[in-house]
Amino acid sequence: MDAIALVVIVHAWRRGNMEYVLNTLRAYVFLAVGRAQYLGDAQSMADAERVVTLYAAVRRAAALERRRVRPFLRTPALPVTTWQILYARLKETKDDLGFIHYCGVDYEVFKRLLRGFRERMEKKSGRPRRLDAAATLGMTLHSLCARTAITRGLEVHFGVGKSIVSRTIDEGMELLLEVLKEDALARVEWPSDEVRVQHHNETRTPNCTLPTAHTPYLSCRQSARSWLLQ
Amino acid sequence: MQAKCAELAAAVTAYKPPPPGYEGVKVIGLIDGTTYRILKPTDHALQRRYSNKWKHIVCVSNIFVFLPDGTIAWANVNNYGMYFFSSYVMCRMRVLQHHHTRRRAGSAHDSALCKKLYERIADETKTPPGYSFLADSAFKSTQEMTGRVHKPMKNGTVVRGTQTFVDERKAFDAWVISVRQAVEWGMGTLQAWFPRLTVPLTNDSRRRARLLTVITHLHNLKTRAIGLNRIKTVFLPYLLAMNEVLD
Repeated sequence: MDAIALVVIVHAWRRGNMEYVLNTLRAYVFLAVGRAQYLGDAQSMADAERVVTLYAAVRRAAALERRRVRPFLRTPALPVTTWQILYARLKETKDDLGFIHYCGVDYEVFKRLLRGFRERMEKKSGRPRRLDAAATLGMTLHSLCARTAITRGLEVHFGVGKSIVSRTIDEGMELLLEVLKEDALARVEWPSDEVRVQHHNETRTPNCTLPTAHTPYLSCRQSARSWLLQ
Repeated sequence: MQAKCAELAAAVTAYKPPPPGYEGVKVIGLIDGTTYRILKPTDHALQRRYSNKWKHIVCVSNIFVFLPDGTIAWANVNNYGMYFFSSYVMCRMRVLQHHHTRRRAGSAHDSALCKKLYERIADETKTPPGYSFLADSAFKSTQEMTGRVHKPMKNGTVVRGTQTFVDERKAFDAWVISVRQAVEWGMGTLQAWFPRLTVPLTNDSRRRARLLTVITHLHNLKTRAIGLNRIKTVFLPYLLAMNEVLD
């Protein structure tokens, strides 16, 4: 190995380009070992041994460094996650604004979706999932309702790693599609079709006195006034 | 079968009665197309098919039909950004000469995506006779579609006839534009409820299709179960009133 190559490698190392350093060294290993095999003299054998030793040492150092600079989130790092708080509050109050803001649906709709979702999750084979049905549904809905579904943010909100986040959203979307396809209220329906879908608003009464999403066809000002008059 | 159509048409008429001369127009739905940006495919030929040269973006185009009760009645999602009359291979061949390639305008594209929809509208077993839809000027109005799809006139259109006829046609045009505004509310609702659509969608066609289908269904679910939808908010009082009258 010549001096110039060594300088280039050291320069790349100092800039932190370990990929380049390792690839270059690997090429030199092949060259040196090949030459030693071809010539078979003591000098080239010693050279090859030196290059191989150098390569092994650098590889070990690179592995250590990678392990050092790559922290990843572990579950015990977050004793209570945002999701647990939101979901607990939703179950408690049934009308948690934080939850509606996070998932885009209210308690009734979430419960409705969760029923079919849980059935399908239980039938799934494979390793047990880190997140339960509710959390999977929550993450999927949030990924639709968020302007940017930042993976790192979701990691912190749900207390799981990056790969689990992407796998959960992928699986959740598949299940959500199945659930929605069977839901009568979610049907995409041409007006003249035989089956008539009854709108929930026509049958359901609001479960609280505050103006909520359930109070239909009133502008904000009107509903605020009607609330004040009560 | 016709009960729901009658109800929807009555709600639109009650909301804004059609001008004189066009009292018989019974509108039950609103058609419009929209585009959502996607991440650029690495394959140049594919990227070219997804690119929309009018808007200068790489996108998928979608068609939605909204009903006055706020729900989506028909949707065609996840189509190429702009229509080419060549196949994928032809498209590859044309890459070099793309400045000289004739391509259809985006408006022709909107119309081409609606082929199935037009069949559905023209079919009397699917859509009862006498009921019609509103669209923008991108959509076609051929002989068999006359009276089934109303759209505003383009700039510089010449209307021939008596003065009364011309005035009535103008008034009808204004009415179409005014009522058709509701479909823009529908598009707004989609993006407001699912801001994921405002960020470039994924590159993977299968996943993108799945996402858009989920969003379409979820929109209908939210409209029916929660109902904070502007089309519904505006038309529901008329719908409920008409329900009573028709019953």
